[in-house]
Amino acid sequence: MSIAFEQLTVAFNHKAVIEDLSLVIPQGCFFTLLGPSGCGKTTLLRTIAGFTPAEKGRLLFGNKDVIALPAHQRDIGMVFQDYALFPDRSVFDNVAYGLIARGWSRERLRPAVLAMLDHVSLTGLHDRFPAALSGGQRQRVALARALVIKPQLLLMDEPLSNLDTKLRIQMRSSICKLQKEAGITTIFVTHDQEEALALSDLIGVMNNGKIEQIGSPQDIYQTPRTAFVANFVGGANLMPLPELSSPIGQGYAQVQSPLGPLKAFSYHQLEAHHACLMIRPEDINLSLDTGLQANHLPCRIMGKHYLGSKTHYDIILPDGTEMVVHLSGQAHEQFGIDQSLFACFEVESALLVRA
Amino acid sequence: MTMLHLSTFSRRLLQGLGVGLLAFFLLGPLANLVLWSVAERWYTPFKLPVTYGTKYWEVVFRPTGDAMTSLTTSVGIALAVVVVTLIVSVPAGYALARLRLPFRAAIMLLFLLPQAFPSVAIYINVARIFYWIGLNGTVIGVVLVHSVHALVYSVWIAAAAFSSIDQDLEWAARNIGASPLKTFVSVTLPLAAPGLVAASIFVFLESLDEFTGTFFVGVPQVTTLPLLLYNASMGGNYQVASITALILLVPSIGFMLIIERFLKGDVLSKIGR
Ligand SMILES: Nc1ncnc2c1ncn2[C@@H]1O[C@H](COP(=O)(O)OP(=O)(O)O)[C@@H](O)[C@H]1O
Ligand SMILES: [Mg+2]
Repeated sequence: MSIAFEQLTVAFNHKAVIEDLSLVIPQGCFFTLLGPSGCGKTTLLRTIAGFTPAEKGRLLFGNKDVIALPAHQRDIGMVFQDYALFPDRSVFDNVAYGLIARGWSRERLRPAVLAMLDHVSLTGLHDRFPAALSGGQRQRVALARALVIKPQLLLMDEPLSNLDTKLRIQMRSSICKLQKEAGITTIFVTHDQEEALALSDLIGVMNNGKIEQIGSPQDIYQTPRTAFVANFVGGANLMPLPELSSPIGQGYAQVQSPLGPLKAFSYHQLEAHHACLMIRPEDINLSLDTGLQANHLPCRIMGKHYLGSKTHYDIILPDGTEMVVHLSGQAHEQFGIDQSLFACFEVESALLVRA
Repeated sequence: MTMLHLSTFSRRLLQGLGVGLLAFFLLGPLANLVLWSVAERWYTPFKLPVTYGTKYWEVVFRPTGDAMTSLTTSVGIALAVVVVTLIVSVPAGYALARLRLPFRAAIMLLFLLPQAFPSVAIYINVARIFYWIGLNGTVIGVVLVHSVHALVYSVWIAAAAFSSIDQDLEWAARNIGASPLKTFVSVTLPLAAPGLVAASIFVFLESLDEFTGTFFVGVPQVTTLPLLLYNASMGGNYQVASITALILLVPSIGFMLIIERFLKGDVLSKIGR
């Protein structure tokens, strides 16, 4: 089932938390809402699930507007951030709850529940109570409870944020596998960019109740549209530019920076005011001379952090702009604090984004 | 080492003193009650009863006796009060816990209001009003008076019990297909049950113990145990009064033990939040 929002607005006490959101998620897509804490991700999920009413706008499941439908008739499975397992029910009864609510008999639901528990690798744990499970197991019970009703849509609110790193990476791949097998349209919420990049077919980067950019993980990382997206996904050095004389079209552009002209590239149309230059830390090279790359700026090393496979440098430009540079290999080992050098980067690495 | 020993010793001494004082204040009166209940004759200047016997126990427990009637009346009224307060405090407590009601604090205060005024003044007026509408001297009148008094506790405890339940649990149930009513009955209510049971026990005990309201509204037709106790001690019959007092103690102690096992700390900590 495909999902669409049309000018959805959600407000608390007349303050909009989600504003005029329009978005289409195709059938079977693993869609991730990525954004910092407090940007409105949970609110949006709750509105989709029917717990928080929308101020205005439409919410289409397929081509049916469900905005007026009560939560229990929307046919959605949701995995809550803290799992929300019923503490007074066994694993079996937790998973069976949705089927009982749908009027299934005990005999009919038993094999379905046990099969679902097998499916999420919880075989044999059906008699346990939630308090006697590990974090990862609770997570899988929550997933089984949401999936066993074969919902049209799966919602997950930061489901991995309470797990330790190793388990998180394991669960990541099993969620991915379960979702693909079920072919179920999924909206996954996270503030972890790595998680979003690893799992998603499509990512929507959210900031202050608005979606700043929608695209594949590659689109989002390689061709960010705004400074926020660039910085939030992958991290970026940003250099504000003085107002441009004319709007920028797609392609190569010569821009006037506070430190002189720079050759840059733009994937998107940009208005004249609000442009910003963004360079990934790994796309900058430090060298003793101006080098062969298209752009070079004089800089001074302020800090050096050796991290094994790479070294992070904090540098400062003559106008006071600070930047971070990630270098790998050994060629730069002799660089030290306070040394003056050149920061060099290619045209394609100097992207113009909306400030 | 000596210092340590000394301090352990003095701590022991303090502990012993504390326990002794507690025993004196709690068990002293109790022992007195027990003595009186088995004293067939006891008068000054004797420090202990002159004749022991169970004559008065037989009097009290005689099926046709006043005491048994009062006991039945008291328990009946207490149970009715529990039902009435549950009917009010479950929805009220849930609303206070879940809905973002305007004037939430004011509503909580409203339930406290009956406690704020001198109860005798209130009861005299209530008795007058009840007299006009024919509720004076009826069991229903007494149940009403007890219920208003008990709502203070029960609404408060019910609100605490409901707000200690994570709303995500209700949403999880709604999400996978349970209607609001089914969610409330199958998820919310069972989780709130310990708190509601505790509230009901408090209400039951309060009603069983209540004196002033019953005195103004119920007398002379409705005689509960505390009234019987009052009448007996006014009439100089300390034996019957002591036995009645002992009977009144039984449910209190029993329920206190239950509450202690039943009530989770997180419910208690949310009372009045
Ligand atoms: N029930 C509520 N009442 C008022 N404001 C709320 C409520 N729920 C969320 N908010 C506000 O809405 C904003 C978005 O919150 P949320 O959706 O939880 O963000 P996220 O899940 O992205 O961290 C926050 O500023 C939060 O304070
Ligand atoms: Mg959230």
